[in-house]
Amino acid sequence: MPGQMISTNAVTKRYGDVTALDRIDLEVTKGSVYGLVGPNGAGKTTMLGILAGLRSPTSGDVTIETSSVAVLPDTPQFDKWLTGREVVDLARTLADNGTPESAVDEMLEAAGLAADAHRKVKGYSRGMLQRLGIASVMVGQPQLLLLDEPAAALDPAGRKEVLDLVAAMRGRSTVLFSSHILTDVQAVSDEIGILRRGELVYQGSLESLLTRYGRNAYVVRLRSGSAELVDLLLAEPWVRSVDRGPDEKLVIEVTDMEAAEGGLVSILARGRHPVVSISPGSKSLEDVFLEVTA
Amino acid sequence: MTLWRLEFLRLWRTQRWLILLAVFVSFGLLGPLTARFLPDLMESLGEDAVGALPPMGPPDGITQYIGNAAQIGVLAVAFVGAAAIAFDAKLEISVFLRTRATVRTIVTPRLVATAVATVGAFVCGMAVAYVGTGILLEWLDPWAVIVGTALFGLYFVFAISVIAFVSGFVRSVPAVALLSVGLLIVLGLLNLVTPLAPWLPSALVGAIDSLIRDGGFTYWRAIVVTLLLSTAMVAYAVHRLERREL
Repeated sequence: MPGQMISTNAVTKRYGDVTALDRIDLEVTKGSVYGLVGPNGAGKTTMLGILAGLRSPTSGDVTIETSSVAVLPDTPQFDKWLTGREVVDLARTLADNGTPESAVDEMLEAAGLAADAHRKVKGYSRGMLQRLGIASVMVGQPQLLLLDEPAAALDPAGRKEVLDLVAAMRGRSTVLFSSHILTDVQAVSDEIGILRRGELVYQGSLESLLTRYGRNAYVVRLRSGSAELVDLLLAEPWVRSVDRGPDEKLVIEVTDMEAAEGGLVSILARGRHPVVSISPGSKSLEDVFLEVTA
Repeated sequence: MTLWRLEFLRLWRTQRWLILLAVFVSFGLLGPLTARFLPDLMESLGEDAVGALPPMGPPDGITQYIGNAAQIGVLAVAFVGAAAIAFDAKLEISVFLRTRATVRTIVTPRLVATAVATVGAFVCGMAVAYVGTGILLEWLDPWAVIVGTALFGLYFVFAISVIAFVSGFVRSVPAVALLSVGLLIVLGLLNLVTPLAPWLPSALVGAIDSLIRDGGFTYWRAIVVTLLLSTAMVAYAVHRLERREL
C-alpha cells in the first residue's frame, strides 16, 4: 500500500490580519494525481508555494517524502533570449539525476514543441510557454510535481494534451495540481481537496464527494400530465421536493431512496401516467463544488 | 546547459557586455584626446579660458579616463549589473531557478559573469587610454598602470557586491540600480573624512592617478577592507535571498 508523499499538519499562513490558510491537513498519496480546487483567492497558490518551499507557513508542519520536486507556476516565464530547448536542457541539468540529453527532445516532442524547440522563448505564445513549463518540470522525472493551474492558458485541444501528460505521470510521480476548471480535475484526479477561504473543506475521492454532497433524486419524464402528479408526489412522506421542468420533466428529491424506489413506480402506475423515462438524478460536480464552497 | 553557461549567455545575448565595452572604450579614447587637445582648444577660445584650465601632462590621459570611469562608468555598471543581479525581479523565473538550485549556486555565476564583463570592459578601456596616451603624449610606467588598473578593478568588484547586497532588500531593477548608486556615492563621500579615507574602497579609485605620478603604494588597508566588505555583503545577500518568500 503506497504511503503519503505529502502530509501537512495544521499548516497556517497569515499575512498580517489576513489568514490565507487555516490549519490545513493535506494528505497526498504517493503516485496519485491530486487536484486542489477552489475559487480565486481560496489559497491554492499559497499552499503550493509552501509545499514548494518558496513560502514559510506561519505555523504547522509540512512533510514531503522526497527532495525531487519540480514546480510549475501559473504563468510560467523564462529568460526571453533562451530557446525552448535550452530552457528544458537547463531544467534537465539542474535536476542533477543523470537524465540523458535525449530526454530534452522527448519532452519537447511530448509537449508539442518539437518544431519550435530552437526558437527563442521571446516569440512563444502564452500557451506555448505553458507547454514549455510542462516539459521543463517533467524532464528530470521528478518524484513530485507541483503544478499551479497547468492548463489554464490553453485551448481545449492543448488542455487535453496537458491533462493527458499529467495523467501519464500517475504511478511514476506524484502530481499535485491546482485548478478552478472542474472538468480538468474530474478528468485526471484520483483525489481532490477543496479549499474555501483558506480552509480545506473537503479531501478525498471524487466519488465520495459526490456521494456525500450529491442529493437523492429521480428524474421522471412523462408524455403528459406532470402537473397532476406533483400534488400526488408531495403527499408522500419520502418526497422532499418536486421541481417541474420543461417537456413534462419532474425532478423528485427524496429522503429515502428505498421507499422511493417502490413508491414512485406505484404512484405512476396508479395514476396511469404515460412514462417516457425514469432515471436516478444527481448533482453535477459543479453543483457540489458551488455548494461546498458557498 | 549549466548555470555558468546561462550567465555568460545572458551577457552575450542581451549584449550587456557590448554596452559596458562601448562605455569604457569610448572613455579610453576620449581620455588621451582630451589631455592632448583640450589645452589647444581652450587656447583658441582666448587667454581667459586657458587660465581656467589646470596645466595638463601625460598622466592626465589616464586621469581623464579614470574620472569618467568612476562616474559614468560606475553608473553604467550599476544599471547593467542590476539588470543581471536583481535576483527576484521576475518572479516566475526565480521560481524556475530557486526550486531547482540553491541560492548560492544561482548567485555565484551571476556575480562572477557580471564582474568579468565589468572588469574586462574597464581593462579594455584602460588599454586604449594607455596606448592613446603613449601615442599622443608620453609612454607611462606600465607597472604603475597595471597595479592601478587592478586596484580600480577591485573597486568594481566591490560595486557589484553592493548591487548584490541591495538586491537582497529590493526586487525591481531600477530600484536596485538607483539604491546601489546612492550607496556608492555615500561611501565615496566618506572618503572626504580624512582619517577614514585610506581604509575605504573608494581610495582604490584614485590609486592609479597617484601611482603614475610616482606616489607610494599605500592601499593595503583599502584592499583588505574592500575584500572583507565585498565578501560580507555577498554573504548577507545570499542569506536574505534564501529567506525571501516568492
